[in-house]
Order: sequence, then C-alpha cells, then structure tokens
Amino acid sequence: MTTFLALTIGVLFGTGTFLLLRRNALKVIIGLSLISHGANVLLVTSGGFGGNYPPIIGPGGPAYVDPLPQALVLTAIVISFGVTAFLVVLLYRLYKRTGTVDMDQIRRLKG
Amino acid sequence: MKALVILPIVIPLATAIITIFLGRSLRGKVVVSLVGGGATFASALLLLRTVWNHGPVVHTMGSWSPPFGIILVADLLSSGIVVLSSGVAMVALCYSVGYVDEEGQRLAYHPLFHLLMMGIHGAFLTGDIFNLFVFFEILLISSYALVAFAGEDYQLEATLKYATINLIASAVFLLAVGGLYGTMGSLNMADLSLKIARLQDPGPLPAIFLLFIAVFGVKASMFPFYFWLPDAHSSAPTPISAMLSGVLIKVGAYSILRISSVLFVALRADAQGWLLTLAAITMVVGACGALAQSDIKRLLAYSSVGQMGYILLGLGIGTPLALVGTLLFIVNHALAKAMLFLTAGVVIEATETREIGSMGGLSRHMPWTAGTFFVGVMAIAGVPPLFGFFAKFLLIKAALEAGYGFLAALAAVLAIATLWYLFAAWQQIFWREGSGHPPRVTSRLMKGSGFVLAGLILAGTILLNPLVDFLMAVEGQLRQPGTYIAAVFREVAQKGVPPSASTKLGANLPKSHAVSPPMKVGAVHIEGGLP
Repeated sequence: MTTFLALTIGVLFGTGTFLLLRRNALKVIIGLSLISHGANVLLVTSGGFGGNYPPIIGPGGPAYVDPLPQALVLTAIVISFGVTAFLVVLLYRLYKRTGTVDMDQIRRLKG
Repeated sequence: MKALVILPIVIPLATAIITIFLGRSLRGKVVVSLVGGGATFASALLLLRTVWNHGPVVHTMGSWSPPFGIILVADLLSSGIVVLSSGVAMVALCYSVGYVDEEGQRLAYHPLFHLLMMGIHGAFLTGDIFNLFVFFEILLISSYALVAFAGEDYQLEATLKYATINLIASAVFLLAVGGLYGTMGSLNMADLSLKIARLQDPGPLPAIFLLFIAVFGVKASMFPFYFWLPDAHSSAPTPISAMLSGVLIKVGAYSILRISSVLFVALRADAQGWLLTLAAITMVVGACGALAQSDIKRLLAYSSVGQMGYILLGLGIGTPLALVGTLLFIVNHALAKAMLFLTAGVVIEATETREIGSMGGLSRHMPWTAGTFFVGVMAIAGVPPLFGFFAKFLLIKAALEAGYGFLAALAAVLAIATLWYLFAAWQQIFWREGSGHPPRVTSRLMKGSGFVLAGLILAGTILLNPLVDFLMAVEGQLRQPGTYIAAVFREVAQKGVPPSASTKLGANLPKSHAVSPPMKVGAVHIEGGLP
C-alpha cells in the first residue's frame, strides 16, 4: 500500500510539474491542481495506514487511523478547489480579452 | 479579556459579511467599511495594551485545549505587528474610498479588503501551523481578486503569475505540514517546540524546516521566488499595492521569524547559511531591478524586493541586535513603502502616466505631496535623522559584530544604491522642468492618507527611544520561547482535560484507553517515528 501511494504521489507530482512547464495556461492550471492533489495524498499518508481501520478508537482496541490528516486534507481540497475555480475564471477573462491562452503571447509584463 | 485575541480577526470578517449584504448602497458600504477598519485598529491597540500589561494572551477555539485544538496566541510580536498592519490598512482603506471607482466599491471591493485584513491578522495571531496555512490561503485568495480588481489585461496577467507561484507554494506548505505532522504528531507550535527540543536525532526535520523557509520565502519575495512581486505589486490598484508591499510581504518575514524562534529553535543554524546567501542575492537583485525601471510603481515594487533582502539578512544573522534592527526595519518599511505607493498613486492620477520620464515639475503644483514623497524616499533609503537610518545602521552593525564583514559592506553599498534610485525618481517627478500644463486635481482623501503615514514616520523618529525599547522587549520575548510556551500551556493547566474530547470520543472507552484520543495519536507517532 505504501509503495503504491508513493508511486501515486510521484506520478501526480511528475505530471503536474510537466504540465506546469507548458505554454498553454490551461494546462498550467491543470498541472497546479495535480500538484495540490499530490500534496493532499501525501498529507493523508502522514496519518498512517492500517487497512480498514476506522478513524476512531473503537471498543475493540487501539487499531485505528489518525483522523486529523483527513480533516486537514478536506480543508486543503476545498481551498485548492476555490483557487482553481478562480484561476479558470481569470484565464477565461484573459482569453476573452486577448484571444489566446498561450503564455508567450499573453505576456506583456516583464517579470 | 481572552476574547480580545479574536477581535482583530472577527471584526474584519463581520465587516466583510455586512458589506456584502448591504447591496448596492455606496454610502452604507463606505461607512460600515471605515467603521469596521477603525474598530479593527482599536481592538488591535487594546490587544497590544493587554499583552504589554499582562503578558501573552491565549485563546482556545471551541474550548479544545492547546495541543489538540486550534489556539490563537498574541505575544508582543504578533500583537505589535497586528497594530502596524491594521493601522496601514486603515489608511489604505481611507485612500481607497477616494481612489477606487464607485462601481467597484458598490461591488466587491470592501468585502475583499476586509477579508484580506482578516487573513493577515489571522496569520499573525495563530498558534497552529495548519491554521497558519488556512489564513495564508484566505489572505492570498482575497489578494488575487484585489490585484485583478479592475480587470485590465496586465492585471489579469499579473494575477495569473501571482496565483500560480503561490499555489505551488501552498502545495509545498502542505508537504511540509504533512512531514511535520508525520514526524512529530502535533500541529501546535508550542507543543511542537517542546517535542522538537526533546529529540535526540532531528531526522528529517532540517529538510522540513528548509521547506517552510522556502514557502515563507515565496511570500517574502526571497531571491529565487521574487519574480511575481514586481508584476503583482505594480499592477494592483494603488491602495492594494500599498497593502501588499507594506503589510503582506511582512507576513512571510513574520512567519520565518516565528518558526525559527519558537518551532525550530535548535535547528536555526541549519537555515542560517541559506538565509544569508539568499538575502544577499535578494538585496542585489532588488536594487539592480529598481535602478532599471522607468515606471514609478515597478520601481517601488523592485525596491520592496531589495528591502526585503535586508529583513531576511537580519533574520539570518539572528543575534538580538540584528532582530531589533529587523523589527525596526519592518516598521519603517511598512509605513514608508505604503506611503510611497499611496503618494505615487496621487502623482499617477494627477499626471495620467506611470512613466517617470513623462512627469516633472510637480513640486510647484503639489508641494505637500512632494514633501510627503521626499520623507518616504529618505525613510526607505535610511537617511538620518529618520528612523530608517537606525534600522539599517543596527543591521549593518549586527552583521559586523557577527563577523559578516562582506554582508555589512554589501548592505551599506546597496543602501547608497537605494538612495540613488529613489532620489533620482523623486527629483525627476517633482523638480525637473515639467511639461507645462497643470496636473489634474486629485481627491483630498488620497493626499491626506499620504500625510498621515508621513506624520507617523516623523513621530516614530521623534519617539525613537520608546519605539526601540518596545522592540527590545519584543526581541526579549522572542529569545525566550519559554514565555510563549508557558502561556499556551497555562491554558491547559487551568482547563484540565478538554471536556468535549472526553465526552464525545472517549466516553465509552475501556479504562486502559481512557486518555483523550488525540493525545494517543501523538503518542503513537512519537514512538513509531514515520508511519
């Protein structure tokens, strides 16, 4: 399970980074949300895995999964959803104004 | 009295909600917004007075005691910087009333501004590392919307860059938080500080510490991550530029100071080399960038990058003298840079251009504005007798005493460069022979805002002794994280086991597990290391 998740996180970060380096701004935004997903999965793993254990200590004994990282991830997902929605609207405005989503053609400011 | 800590967060939130529901009434929105801003500032002052008289104030959210629940902590540093930021915000808010067009004010300007304030104050006051992330996101999302507020092409582009780099930083922040929680099993800064101090082998903590520094470095425009700043700060509406450059980048510096003085005290040496190197490069890059600009707002934005280099330098040196210098520098830069942006907005409004080359001869038409801008230039450049001089002097002296002769020399040379590019800009805008036709009339409110901040800088210069005494007290509290930790855990001692935790989750546990669950969680992680 840990290996599988490590691979998932790696693939999410790798794909995200690849997409971030594209000129198409829409792909950049998709890459950003992939990277936040990677970070979220990593945050979940910091709570530990115990198979099908519940996130509370039941009467049966101490086998449980730490609930806190799941709460944190929930918050982080909501935040990244909000920011991604804002970015998509922003890019749509920019597309309407300039007629392109190519960062090289949008670029006016010099950094 | 404990509830005082949440006021600087709750008042802006309430104001934002009320201004949303006021519909399209311009007068109502402006009045509520200004009253809310004033009330925030007043509550911040009250908080600072309480902290000064009675020591750190801790508030537990929802009565969940410290290691488990979220807490807000106001010590001298956080309450002092909340006073500074709410004061600058109040001035910027008055300026906005004259600057932002009526339609914008009817729409979302006031709610967004107050949400920005809420995020900033929350980030300063929180004692929980994940809560810090949440408040960062609140302030960032409102600042994205505010930078793009007028919807011009260049603003949208700047916001896209600003949001992209900060979204990556947020992901890295989550990585660091995940790593920290996985290693230490806690998110409370005071609790983490105790646990980290007890560790024999730091394990992955130095790497996590550096991740945090990088994340906060993005906010503080540290060298490899500074390039969003000149675009965002120069494209934003002027009062927002003042907020971004005056207050928002200090959130990054504050966070570095907070985690290196409470959380990772033992590991501070690991980050020192990085901080000093990057600070030196940041100073050089900012000064070189500013020298090359012909657009007044971009010049001021690059100057912010360079000045942040000084602040990071002080944090890197980390001796008491350097920290007092850094704090003085933060006060000086917050007031002076906000004032320069506001005054530059007046000048841009009057001449309808942002190119320094097309302005000129304005001192004849607007002598008071010329004087205000001059005070700002001298304060940022650090010319005696203004207290910006003492801030730079303390930093350079601290660098020399700590044995960083090269950095001290670099800081001194770049201080002269700062004086050069700012004074040249001032001279071209106000003194040179102008184009002849008189500038447009600008609103009194906008000019007055600049005067208020200039007055504060002069007042700070006159009252330098009490100011430095106060900052030395702040530094003294930072040097002893014990005060902070003790204040947090006094809360636990008074309350005992969190009532909600024991009733909700632990009620039907067998005797052997009759500890509150989150404590168990912490214990599992400490014993097992990385899960």
